[in-house]
Amino acid sequence: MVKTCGALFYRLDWLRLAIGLAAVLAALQWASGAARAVTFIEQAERLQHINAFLLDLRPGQPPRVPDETVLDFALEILPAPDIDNRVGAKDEPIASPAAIPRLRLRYITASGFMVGGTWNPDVEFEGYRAPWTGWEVGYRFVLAGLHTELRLFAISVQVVGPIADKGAEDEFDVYNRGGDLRLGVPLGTAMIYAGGGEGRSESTLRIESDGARLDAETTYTYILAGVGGEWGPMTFTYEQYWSEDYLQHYSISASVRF
Amino acid sequence: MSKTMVERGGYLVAGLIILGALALAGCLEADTRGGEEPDEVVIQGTPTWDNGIGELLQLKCGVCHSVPPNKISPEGIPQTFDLNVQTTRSDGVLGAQDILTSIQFVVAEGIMPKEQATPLTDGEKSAIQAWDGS
Ligand code: HEC
Repeated sequence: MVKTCGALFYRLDWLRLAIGLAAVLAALQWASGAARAVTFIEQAERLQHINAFLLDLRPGQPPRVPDETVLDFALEILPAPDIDNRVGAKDEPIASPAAIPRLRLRYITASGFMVGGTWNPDVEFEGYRAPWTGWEVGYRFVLAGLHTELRLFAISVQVVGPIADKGAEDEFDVYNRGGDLRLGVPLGTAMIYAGGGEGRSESTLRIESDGARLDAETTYTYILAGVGGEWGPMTFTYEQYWSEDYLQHYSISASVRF
Repeated sequence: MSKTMVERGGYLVAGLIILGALALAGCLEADTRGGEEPDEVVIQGTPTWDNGIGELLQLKCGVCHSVPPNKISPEGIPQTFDLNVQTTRSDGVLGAQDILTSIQFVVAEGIMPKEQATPLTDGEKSAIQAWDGS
């Protein structure tokens, strides 16, 4: 896996400088905070951060400024990596879904203002309920031929169900907010883009069986690179994320404009 | 079916195929530090509270065994002793020295630290058994 990721890094040659710089910054931040070896508290927190980042509201689309005002409906799929749930000497029986599907709606004016949202109703599916609400606002503009978007987001997700024990009503609450910037090079109807952002994540895991309540909070940075193509009224996007130095995941989405 | 619907269907299929190919190249990786070796307190010479035992018990036991309990302490954590201190506190809460035999028992039996906590290394276990409370 690391090899594939490395290859992707280097194939996008022109992105190397930006990504390289961000990686150096991330490494410096990591080195300054990680002199000690690992304790179970760090493992438990990291596990919680990873699950919180997977639910984040990342851009998910090229920063293209539309020719006319559009309403865009997207189905986004966020595959989750295999997560090592070992905390201390115990494998926490946390069941994470293989992928998270999400519907997103965006309204983008010809002058570049974007407002979007994603919602999931509070209905039970396979023993779980996961109501969420996410909002984003952005401004898109063309800067020296590069399509650019500056974006702010906030998302709050509640996952209720048998997270740690069969049949239990465990609860994982996440509130993430932040902002990002990305720049895209138009290549006909396609666009290659990259950017980065910073967010703040607060999450709480409540485990019914032992009454435990675990809180985790962190400020995180991420970089992203994506490619999107427009075919008629549809846009298809693949977006790769590198979050802190410990999570790599991506989204794919298909959207239709009106 | 109208022509535009057929076209749209074509776009959809073409787009999904390309997305699928890209997704295969995608990176999915999460490093939880789950498989890593636990932090170890290495003690040279005779283990005493000031020579390693204090640091060891605070790191691997005191995070839970604190009075009042820490955020991370499980429910039902005993409130009669605190493993962050060596001797009886002024408020009567016992220190590690006061319950030395219980500590050595739970460690020898593998009852403590709890399964979900940072495990003790063999070196740390023998240091606890060799400690005389001083
Ligand atoms: C994850 C939190 C946690 C850690 C870390 C932990 N303990 Fe405990 N300990 C508990 C809890 C909770 C209890 C209450 C009994 C139970 O639930 O098993 C307990 C009980 C005890 C008892 C009392 C046993 C009894 O029968 O009354 C002793 C002694 C003890 N622990 C020693 C230790 C020592 C020594 C360490 C470090 C090597 C340690 N504990 C690490 C959570 C922890």
